[in-house]
Amino acid sequence: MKRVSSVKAVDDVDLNILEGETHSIVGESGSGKTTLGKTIAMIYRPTDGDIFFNGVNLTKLNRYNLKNLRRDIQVVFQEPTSSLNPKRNIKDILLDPLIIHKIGSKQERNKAVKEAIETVELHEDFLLRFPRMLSEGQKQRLGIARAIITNPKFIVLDEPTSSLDVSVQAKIIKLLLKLQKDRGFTYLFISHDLSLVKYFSHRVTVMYLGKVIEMAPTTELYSNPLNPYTIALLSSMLPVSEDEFKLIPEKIPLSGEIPSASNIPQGCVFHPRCYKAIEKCNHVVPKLIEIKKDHFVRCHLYE
Amino acid sequence: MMSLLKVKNLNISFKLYRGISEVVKNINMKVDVGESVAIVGETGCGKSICVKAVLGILPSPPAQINCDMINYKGTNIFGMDYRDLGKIRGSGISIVFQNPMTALSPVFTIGEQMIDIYKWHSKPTISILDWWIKDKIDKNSTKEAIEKVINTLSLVKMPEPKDILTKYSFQLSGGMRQRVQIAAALITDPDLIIFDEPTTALDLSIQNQIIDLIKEIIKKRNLSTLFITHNLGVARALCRRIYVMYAGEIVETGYGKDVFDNPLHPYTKGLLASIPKLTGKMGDGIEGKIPDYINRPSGCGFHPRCVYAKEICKHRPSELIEVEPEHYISCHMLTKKGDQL
Repeated sequence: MKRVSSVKAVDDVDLNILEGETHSIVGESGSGKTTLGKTIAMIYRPTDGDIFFNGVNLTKLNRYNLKNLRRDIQVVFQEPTSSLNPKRNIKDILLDPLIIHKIGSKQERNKAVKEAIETVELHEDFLLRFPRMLSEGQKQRLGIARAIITNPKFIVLDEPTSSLDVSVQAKIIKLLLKLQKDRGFTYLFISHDLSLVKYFSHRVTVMYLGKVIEMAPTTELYSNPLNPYTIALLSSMLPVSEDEFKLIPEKIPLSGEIPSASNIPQGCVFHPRCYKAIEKCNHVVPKLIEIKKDHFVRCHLYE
Repeated sequence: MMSLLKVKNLNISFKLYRGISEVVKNINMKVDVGESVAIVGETGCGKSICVKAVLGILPSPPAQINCDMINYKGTNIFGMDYRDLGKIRGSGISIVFQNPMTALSPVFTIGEQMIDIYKWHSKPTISILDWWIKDKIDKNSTKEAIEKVINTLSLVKMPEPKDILTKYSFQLSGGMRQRVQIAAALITDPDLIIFDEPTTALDLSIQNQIIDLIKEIIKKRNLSTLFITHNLGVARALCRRIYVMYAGEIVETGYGKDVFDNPLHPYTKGLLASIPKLTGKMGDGIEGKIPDYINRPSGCGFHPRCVYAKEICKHRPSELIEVEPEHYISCHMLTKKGDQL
């Protein structure tokens, strides 16, 4: 067997997620955001590097101990339809995590299922139904119920509302906010919707072709973006109301296509499309530096 | 301004085992020459199916389409023979589909597909003789077609158009595939292009490239365009006039600026409010879900979900009335002057 090429989906990512915060990862196709999210949830094993959860290094745990920690780290997936087993009814779908993690007695589990379904504002009647009988929004509520039933500390939300209509999205986001307020969840929110990220997050990390290129608290990132890619991305937002236009940087059209992740450019990954590229960008990979408190950027212009 | 396309009283229903599903009701729409119009609405509102019915590409049966008139350039094309309709689709109205990944055939090269479109666009049915004559005897037709394809690919800012001719769709990125689709729509020199969710499957940075490209082409060719989208930001960026659809009916219509800055129908208000704003606000969404099209609610179709609903809304169906110049809504709550009742 000959290796033809390799894909560096996620490269040299340092990330700090604080308890109780909503940390968003923003990026386009090939940015590695979904791979990063799934790796943090230990769905994929990292090729290199460590993931510390509450001080414990997940990558060094044996299967048994990792399994126990999985009840604290849950995931809500993008496509509600394909992430729910169509052959099982809602009650079984919700019981599964409790059974797998050996949580509670039979009575306690049934009680937990009832509470979970109430928390996501679905009626008890739904318990005996099957996923196909639910609307998209209801299915996603079910996905959330399944994620919270083990009482996790940390939830990876992988584009949970991308496939939903805007009026349904608003309700799901408000539900997630309420849950965070009531139960103190920490969220890792993966999205490509910049307006939603601004509304929903405390801190934002911007990724491009596997690398973190900027990270800052939300208000800081949106009012003072530094990396040329971040600026161009923010300038591409299309608002619906008049008063939003002044909050968007002046439009910078980006030329060219996003390169394939198996053919990442030398030096700075963004340099072929960068409108501010200098000679150095072609062959030296810039480092991620803290340019001011809590605002990190990876770009030669700021070194 | 002369109307290029005018649809009068379009109704579409499907006969199901459970009953008759009335999917689209009383649709009246128009696109003027050189105008960009958007049809916006959420999943299931009937926007795609409306447009397919207008183009004659909605299989009927099982659809039952009733319409007073679909006027295209002065001719009623509703109920037209498929051959005549094919000619219109070939050289008057083009459509760019939603998912560029699946809209192009994966088994033919881009060149083959586009040459075919150019050579045969005005002939919906081709006999073997026609094909033989054009392909074998009229050698110039292929040369001419290739030239036209390369020109059109350059028009959509495709890098290295000559190389693209021999490529397959899976060798191209999403943005490039969408450009190819747009080129395929333009190559027949249409008057009207219909875009069905033109940017949904694309990345943000590519989305803007495509939007700018579309704007440029519209200006250059004085095209009329009809956009179907659920992305209100895209609709605002691209269109002059907008139709807001809910559950198969038009609930509000007017100039984009008026509808976005001063939405009047409760559904439009709820919808726009639900979009997270950069100013930090986001509405609570809209309660409930779309009605069962077999058992539609009595009176106004939106009343079960409407926060303003009164008794009259449950009994009397609403109609589109002009409450401001060129701003129409279908709601009992506003008087003709636009004041709240």
